[in-house]
Amino acid sequence: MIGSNTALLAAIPLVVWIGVFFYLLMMDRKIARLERGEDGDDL
Amino acid sequence: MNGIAQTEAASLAEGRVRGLWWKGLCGIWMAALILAVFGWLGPAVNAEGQPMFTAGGHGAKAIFFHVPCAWLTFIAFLVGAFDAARHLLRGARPHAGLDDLKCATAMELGLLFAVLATVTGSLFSRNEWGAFWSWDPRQTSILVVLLILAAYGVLRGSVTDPSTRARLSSVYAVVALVPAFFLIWVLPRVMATLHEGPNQTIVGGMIGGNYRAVLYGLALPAFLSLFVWLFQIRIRLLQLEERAAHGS
Repeated sequence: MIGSNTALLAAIPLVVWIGVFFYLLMMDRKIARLERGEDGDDL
Repeated sequence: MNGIAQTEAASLAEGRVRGLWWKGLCGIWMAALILAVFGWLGPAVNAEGQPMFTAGGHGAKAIFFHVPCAWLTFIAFLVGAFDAARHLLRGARPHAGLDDLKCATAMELGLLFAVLATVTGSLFSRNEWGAFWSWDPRQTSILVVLLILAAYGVLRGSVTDPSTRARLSSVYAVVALVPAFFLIWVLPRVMATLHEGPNQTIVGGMIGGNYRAVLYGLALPAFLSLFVWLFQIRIRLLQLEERAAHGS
């Protein structure tokens, strides 16, 4: 059975990883747009 | 265009993420690894059910982050040396510049994972042997590999001419593979080291509790796919920068 401390211990790195994952996805998507030449923003 | 190329072109046109399926798997594997390590996986125990390592056996869980980072350090070095050799062999032919970019990217990622391996290894060392650093042969060898990788970046940064920079850094990457191989695979095996115990216990299969399954089934694929993703992103960014610099 997972106690509250263990749940917190798992939640922190999990939340960090979810943030990193979606950041990488967002960057990947932006790069794809830049490669296509449709996004005028700088890198 | 064939079906695959049409799908790729359509993805690019809409700014969608290419290879979303394996990047999604990377996210799932890493999340599953975190949940396994901090959630359902019990302490490391031996055949008699006695806890192994510190914290009642939970100290062994550092391996799920430390070991993949160490493996990726060497894999990155191999990829870098391979691309460096291709660059040197291709000379002035097309794609030689891309090989140099790939080498630089691989060596950068190798440095990142070497730092992570050193830090996670130090944390394990503190728990297990009472000190963050003890100049153990394995610890010292990974530190030297880290310095070799850092020196690659220093070399690239110190040469302004692109073709000279590419040639010099490629030669360095190829030559540096020899001492890196010796430091990672030979030295810790010929000298007595604190690392030998955990090596035999964990990687040698003497540990119970599904540790090997999580290490090879979750940790390794998660970190490997993350490495490939970071590599791809970095290469594409460098290519965009080159394109912008040359005004194309």
